Amino acid sequence: MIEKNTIPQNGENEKPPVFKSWKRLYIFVLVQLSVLILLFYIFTKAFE
Amino acid sequence: MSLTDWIVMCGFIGFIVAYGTWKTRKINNMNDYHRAGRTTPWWTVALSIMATQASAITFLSTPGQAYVDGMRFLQFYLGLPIAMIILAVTAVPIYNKLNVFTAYEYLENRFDLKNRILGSVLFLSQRGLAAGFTIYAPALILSVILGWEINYTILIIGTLVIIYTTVGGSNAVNKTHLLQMGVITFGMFAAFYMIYQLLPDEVSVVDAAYVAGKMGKLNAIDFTFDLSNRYTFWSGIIGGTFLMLSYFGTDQSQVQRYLAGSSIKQSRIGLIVNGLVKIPMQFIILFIGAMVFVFFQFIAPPIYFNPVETRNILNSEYAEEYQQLEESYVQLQEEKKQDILEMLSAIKNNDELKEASLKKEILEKENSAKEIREQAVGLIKTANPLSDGNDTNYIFISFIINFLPIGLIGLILAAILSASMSSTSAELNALASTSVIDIYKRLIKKDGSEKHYLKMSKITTIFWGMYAITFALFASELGSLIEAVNILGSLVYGTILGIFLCAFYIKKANGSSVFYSALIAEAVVLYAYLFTDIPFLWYNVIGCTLVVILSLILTPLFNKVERIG
Repeated sequence: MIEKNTIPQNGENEKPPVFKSWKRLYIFVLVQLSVLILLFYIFTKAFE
Repeated sequence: MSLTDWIVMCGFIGFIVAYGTWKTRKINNMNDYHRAGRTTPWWTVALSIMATQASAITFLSTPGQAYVDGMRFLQFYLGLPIAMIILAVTAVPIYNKLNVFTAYEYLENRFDLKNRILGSVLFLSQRGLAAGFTIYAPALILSVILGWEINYTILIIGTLVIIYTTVGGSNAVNKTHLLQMGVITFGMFAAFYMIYQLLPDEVSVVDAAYVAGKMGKLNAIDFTFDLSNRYTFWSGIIGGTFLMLSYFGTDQSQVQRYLAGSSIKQSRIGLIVNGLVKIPMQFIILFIGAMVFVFFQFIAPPIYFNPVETRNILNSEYAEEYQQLEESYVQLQEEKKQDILEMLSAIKNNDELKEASLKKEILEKENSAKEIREQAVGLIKTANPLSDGNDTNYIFISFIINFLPIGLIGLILAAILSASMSSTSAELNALASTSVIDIYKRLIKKDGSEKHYLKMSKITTIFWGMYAITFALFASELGSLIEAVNILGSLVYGTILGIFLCAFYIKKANGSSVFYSALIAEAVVLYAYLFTDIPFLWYNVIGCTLVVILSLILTPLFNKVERIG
């Protein structure tokens, strides 16, 4: 079998920068995606 | 091409290769060679992920895609941020905790050896040929446009990549990716600025956007649910998520990028930044293509952008007919140009009636121009039955060569070659890692020294580089093989994704059930390829779904067998 856990778990509990938790960062990514989709839709319609 | 352009292009490329080789020449252990010592900060992880995905063909084709088909291709990337979150939550901590060198190593940890070997073999079989295609495709386009000898182009690009990837492994790949992404980004913005400068004085960027929009080129988002339409919001958000999950989560050339992260945090942020930046970046590249389209509304474009095919037809019996079509096309473009200028004036004066009527006229003329172009393409295909009649890849590079100033041409060619080299180096690095760690070290020589495995890693990098070059050299004589490479990817991607989905999400799934499910799924996919007309993009869905469903069915059976055993 291959070697397991030859190094300690590497910062699994470290917090992300700026945000208080990873969950908040992931929500931010989803919000940014939603905003981008909305902006691109407005962009599509504005110049149509 | 001018001497200045040659100096700029060779200077950038030469510096990147020399920098990558020099900075990583002292690497002497497997961890540094295959995972860049696990010391990579998030910004390098993010840029390296982007550089791996951005091949030269992406850089050449994407603006052309917007020129021909509008910006709807943007929707292809909508699933990417979702896939990045899923991988940051699941794959990164698992790979990190198990301290793996390759994604397939995890399969042995989770299931058994046979799943690891199956995943590795499926990856090696398709990625080896794909690496050849990554070198061949831009070499073909550059040779057609610039008259370069294709075989020399392939040999030079391939050899340069082999040099620094062999010397510095993953570390060199990451270090050169930083510079390559810098050149690509700068080239992209420089091209955008030049298009803006080259528009007629009376046409602003907003005016240009109106022209592109009225002519259907700014169709970035389409919420229509239509299965026959390849790019919609729905296909992007659903199909795109699966595709990106498969590519970023199971393809070693991408997994290797975030395995190099110095911690879970750095790898995660690298993925997340890619999720935040990729869509705006694609938007800019596509918008450049739409602006090139607007530019060619004021300066008549060639009826067909591939100069070799154009020369062929002008030397054939169809030359006269083709020239007549060209004349009609130019005349129509001139009339359309006047209508466009009038429409812009109507928009500025808020004359909606005139604007609507001119828009209708412009679209009618655009359709007539399309018809003339189709007739010309028909003639080209009659004169040369081997021609695919598709010049999308030649649009952007034709614009660069014919309209950009000296110096900038060299810079953008450096960006295109950088994109080709960045993808190829990541592929060779991943192929070497999988060959040595998953096959050689695991099956052939288990008790070798660190020095021996490092030597083997360098030898396999050279082997895969030469394999890719050989494929690229012969690809020009085996036209259908190129399509076969794309199909080959779809033949195995679905099955690999299915295996990884079972590993990550189906706790009860056992090794034997997943392995035999994968074999059955692969057989079904091969059957679909050989005996049905199902489009090959669907093979991903078929392969993945079958592995997951069959594993769920077979797991209780294998558990029973094991208990009896």
